Amino acid sequence: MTLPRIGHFLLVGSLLLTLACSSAKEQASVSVPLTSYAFSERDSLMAVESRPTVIFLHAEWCKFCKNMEQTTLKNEHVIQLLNEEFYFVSFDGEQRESIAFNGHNFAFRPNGRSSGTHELAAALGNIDGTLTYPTLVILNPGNEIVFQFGSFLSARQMRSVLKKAVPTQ
Amino acid sequence: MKKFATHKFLVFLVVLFAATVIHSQNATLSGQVNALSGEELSFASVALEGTTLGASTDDDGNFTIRDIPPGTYKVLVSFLGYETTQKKIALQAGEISTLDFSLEMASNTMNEVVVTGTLKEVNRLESPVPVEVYNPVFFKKNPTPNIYEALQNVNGVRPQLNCQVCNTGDIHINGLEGPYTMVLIDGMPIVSSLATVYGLSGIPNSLVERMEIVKGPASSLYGSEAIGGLINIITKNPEKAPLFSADVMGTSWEELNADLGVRFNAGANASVLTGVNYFNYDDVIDHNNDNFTDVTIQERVSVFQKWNFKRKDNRLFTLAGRYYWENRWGGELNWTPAFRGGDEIYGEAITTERWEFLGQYQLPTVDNMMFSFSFNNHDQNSVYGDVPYIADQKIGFGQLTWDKAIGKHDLLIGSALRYTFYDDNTPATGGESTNPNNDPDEIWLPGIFVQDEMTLSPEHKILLGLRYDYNDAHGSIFTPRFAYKWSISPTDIFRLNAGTGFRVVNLFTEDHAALTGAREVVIAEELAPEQSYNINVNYIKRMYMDNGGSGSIELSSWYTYFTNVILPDYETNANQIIYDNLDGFAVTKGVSLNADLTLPNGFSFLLGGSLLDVSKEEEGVRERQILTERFTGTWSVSYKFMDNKLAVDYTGNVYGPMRLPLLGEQDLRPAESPWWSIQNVQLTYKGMPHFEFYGGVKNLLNWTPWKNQDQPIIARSFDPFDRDVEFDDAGNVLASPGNPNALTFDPSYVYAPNQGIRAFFGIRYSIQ
Repeated sequence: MTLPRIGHFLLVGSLLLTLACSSAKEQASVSVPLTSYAFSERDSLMAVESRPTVIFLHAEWCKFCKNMEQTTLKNEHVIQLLNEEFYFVSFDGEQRESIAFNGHNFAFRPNGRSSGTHELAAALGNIDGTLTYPTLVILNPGNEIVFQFGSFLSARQMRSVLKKAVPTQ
Repeated sequence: MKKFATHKFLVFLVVLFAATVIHSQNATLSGQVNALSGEELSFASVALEGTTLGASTDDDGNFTIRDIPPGTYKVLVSFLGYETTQKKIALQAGEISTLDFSLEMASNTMNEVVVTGTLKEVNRLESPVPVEVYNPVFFKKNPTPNIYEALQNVNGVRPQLNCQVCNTGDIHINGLEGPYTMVLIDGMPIVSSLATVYGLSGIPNSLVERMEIVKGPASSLYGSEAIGGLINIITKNPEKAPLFSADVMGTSWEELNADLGVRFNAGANASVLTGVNYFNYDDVIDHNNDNFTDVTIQERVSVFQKWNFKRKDNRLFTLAGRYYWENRWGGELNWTPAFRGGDEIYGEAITTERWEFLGQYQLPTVDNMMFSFSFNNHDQNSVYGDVPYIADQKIGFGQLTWDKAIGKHDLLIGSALRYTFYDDNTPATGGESTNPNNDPDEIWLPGIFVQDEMTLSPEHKILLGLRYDYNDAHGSIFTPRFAYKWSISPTDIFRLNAGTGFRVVNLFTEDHAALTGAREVVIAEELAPEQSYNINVNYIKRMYMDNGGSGSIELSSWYTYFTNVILPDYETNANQIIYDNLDGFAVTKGVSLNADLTLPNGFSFLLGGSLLDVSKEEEGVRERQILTERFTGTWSVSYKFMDNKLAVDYTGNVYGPMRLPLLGEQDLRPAESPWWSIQNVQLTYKGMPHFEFYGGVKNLLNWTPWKNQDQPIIARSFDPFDRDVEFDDAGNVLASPGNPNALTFDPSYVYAPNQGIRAFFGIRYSIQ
């Protein structure tokens, strides 16, 4: 079947595609990538070198989380601090896999057809009874929560928090 | 010797002196920093203004600053998420002073709270089908009593009034009329047919947790009817709802809308949410002096209850029911119910009684299997002048779905069964229900569907879907779906969607004009189902700012080709509406742009615009669709200030000219509507716990259609029963001294609401 008058549509469609392709090329490169560990990797590294852990709790649908991933967590000073002084864990609060942490097993708890919260996210990120995204959690080497913050952090704010959390020799 | 001793002594003295000077001159400040709630705050910064001196609090919230030269200082304590606090202190030489701080939590936090969905959580970023999600925050920018009116704020979606007298309307998405839009509640098709014209204003906003809008072909889950798009209303979750909530709003037009919500726990395993909505408007206003009500008199009650049951492994089980009653009338100012159905004084009166029952039950299986079911009954008793329309519609629906992720494949397999019963007093179903020839419409629509969402790589996702339905009147219906999503970068997404549509037309339930009684309905031939092919492309670019601000730009384009469409023909004969199959094709196409920007300083902007072109071509003649604009735009500008306690919202929309239905060449009313715009401002105050006050002005420009034309909107409103109209033998209107332009009574020339500028004020109260 021929579809007459589809010309305009194709024109707009190809315009959008061109736009899409051009932005694919302009991807900026980050000088030093941020090293992110899984909880299990962190545990084995802790045996070698004891460091505080920084956990970035986020969700797929959270706009401010995406923003932090694109700005704060791409800042070279923040990356440097995280890579050198901490073990950084980026944790999706709605992931399905169970996680062993601090001698306990934490699982995903569904609350809808395909929605839910991971028990570990609730345990780490719960501030006054609610879990918001993003939440930044800092654990000391003894796995105790020393800092929780449930909001967007700019690179400047993040650096000041991290600097304070660096253990003093 | 002596000299040496003296020297030693001197050194000793100097050292001693220096030590005492240092010791006695400098002060020490220590203290504790707490939140107002009492907890100690670690990592808080304590600084002395104008110096480099400062400290951070330790794990217990304690700080100490040493070596402070004597003087008066301003001590600043700041901590993320809290208001910066300052205190002045005068420190004397050698003083050891303590100063404690209590910080108030700042309300300006940039985060998002978890929303729980009862259906498959639609994620705009993830899904290959572009879904727009709107939450109550969006609709509160221009508060409205019901979903029908709320949708005026969404780009590409236009609530269209179809009836000047009875003020019922439908929802146009991207230029396609109401019946092409599928309205679902919790994913179930209980708002179809009759209710798409008569039931939308009966869905209160207070029921809504969020609304998902798909423009263009939606997922195979929803069937073939959603050609123009889909509106899925997700109702509130009893577990998350406030313990008690109330929202009462009134306007200077004496409209009153009240919403109440109460949640309680029924035993340990069930939570119950009950919601009541009441709306009343009973002021007979006739600003345009046509002896007809400007706005229909309305009274309605909706009672909603939803049960959420706790089950093992957090499996889902919800049951919900809703009862809805509405009475409305419009017409000549001196109409009273005593004239209902008579031919003395013209009035259109509609009484609707409706109940709905719906539920979802997750099967106790390892895999995610869900059974959804709904049943609803819609009873309508109405008169249009002396023409009665009495209709009864029942829809039963059951659906079983199975979600399974295998490797890269996310499968959704399901089967659905829909039963529709429809009976009215018109010849379409054989007349009155007491008539022995009465033949109600009964349709069984069983269907099966398979959908595979394949994640080829993190960047590429493909969705393939196929649905097969069997309609006992029209046989097999195949509905294929294709969707592709390309995540070019974390901030750029390109999508392509294609699919087909198939729809069986029911004139009486979906075309209000068929009922007005003003024109005779002529069905020229047996009406075939409508079939369509659709393709959509969509591109989203997101931008993130270092300070937490963000924005996005979304460009979409769509093209839908109809091989058959049933369109009303108002123009061949002014006294008839002729329906027949299209001997040609119809096309709707367009582009839309949405942009949003949220800044951390409290400003947010939303801007949308659509260019559309809806036309049909028959025997080589192309014609624009009536009552369809070529351009539509919406916007909202919001500013939050005074620590988020106050908010200003400025919202509006603008529509380009539409072709309007005229009664003939001598009809002097404009054949095209002008550009028109409705704009609103609102101020919201949230400074008191539990309370929220809001108020503002709607329709700031005081724009109404009748002010912009010298001819009356309703033709021959002074003769609603056409007593002084002369007809020839063929039924055409003849010009006569009392009717020089050969018109008949015609209230179907309507494109915008008659309601002018009005103030509104409301109070919301809620306890968690």
